[in-house]
Amino acid sequence: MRHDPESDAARFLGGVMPVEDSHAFSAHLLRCADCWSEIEQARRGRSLAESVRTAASPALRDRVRGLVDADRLDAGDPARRGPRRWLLPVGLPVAAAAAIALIVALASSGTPEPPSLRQAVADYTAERLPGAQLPEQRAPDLTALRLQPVGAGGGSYAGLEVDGFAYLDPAGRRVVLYMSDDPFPEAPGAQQLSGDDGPWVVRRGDVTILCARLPHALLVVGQDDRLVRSTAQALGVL
Amino acid sequence: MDDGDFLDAFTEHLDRLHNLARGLTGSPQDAEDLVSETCLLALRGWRRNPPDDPAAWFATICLNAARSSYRRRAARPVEVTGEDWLLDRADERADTAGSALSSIEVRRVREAVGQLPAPQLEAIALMDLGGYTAAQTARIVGAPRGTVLARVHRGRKVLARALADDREGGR
Repeated sequence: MRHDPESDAARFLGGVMPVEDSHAFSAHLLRCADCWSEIEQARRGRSLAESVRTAASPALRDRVRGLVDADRLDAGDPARRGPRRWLLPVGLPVAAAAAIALIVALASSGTPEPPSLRQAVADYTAERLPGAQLPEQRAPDLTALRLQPVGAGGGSYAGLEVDGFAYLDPAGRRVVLYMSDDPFPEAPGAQQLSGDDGPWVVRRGDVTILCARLPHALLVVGQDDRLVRSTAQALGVL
Repeated sequence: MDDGDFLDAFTEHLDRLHNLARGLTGSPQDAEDLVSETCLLALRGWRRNPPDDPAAWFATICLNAARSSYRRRAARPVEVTGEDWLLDRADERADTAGSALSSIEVRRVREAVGQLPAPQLEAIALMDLGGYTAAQTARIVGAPRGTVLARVHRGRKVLARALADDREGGR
């Protein structure tokens, strides 16, 4: 047998050495410092690697369960849609009416979308943050909504300094907060939620943008309209 | 075999997948994202054709998703994660029963794993973190069993030396 400490030790520890060779190698180990060292280091390395194993968190288990539930509802097979089917007859005309209302509102206002809002929606859709700068503040705590922070970064949107905070809930729904020291411009066609200076909301494609000017210049962006509004409520701005 | 069967199978292997993903990614958040991506890809594959060996099949999907993610990330702006609030508390709680490593050592082991060449990293993540056998790992990475054993052996030696150097250096 050719003497190759690394290869021999790997085969010995991996249990792929023929029995006779294995017995011979065990005896050889007692008098060969190189082979002994190979075995010792590999065992220590394996022990170190194994010692950092962790159990999956309850949050991850919830997230997996939520993903499977959500995907079952969204799957193309009508049999999998279950309780959502009743939404179709009502939902389609409502969605169509909303789209028409948005087109009419935009056409009548004649105002283009402010670049900062356009960029926020584009980044949300592309799963990007405003930039790589450290945010000036910590991510707001939204654990009451089971939203966990998954990323943060600061940058500039059309001259507006913005910090972005991305969150995911157990079902994989994503919400991003955009915070600035200066107010965001109002979107054309926005619906005022309480008075002219209060928060407003608008839908762009499948994304809801909710802006609250007080106490912070804040955008909440997400695909799930209810989650966006709940987030704003949890932050005390709605 | 419906979605309920899938969920049972996936959650049965979730700890192993979580550890595999944690070894293949740089942060707990990335690991959870990778497991989520694996879950969705596996679910859709499961509906078409449930696998014979779910453990190895989930791991194969996870590894392929991780490899795609490396490529995507290369073309993506860096996301700053404020360590203050995105800290890996699970890592600090350290770990499985019987672990005698401090949180600093756990962090150091993870760093050392992350610095391994990709083939060694994948072998360590699958065998030592995920607990897959050498035969399963060989099928998952598509390499001969002897090659996998050589990779994991070299990776383990690097880890042992890295941590020994730390201790000798008083870190």
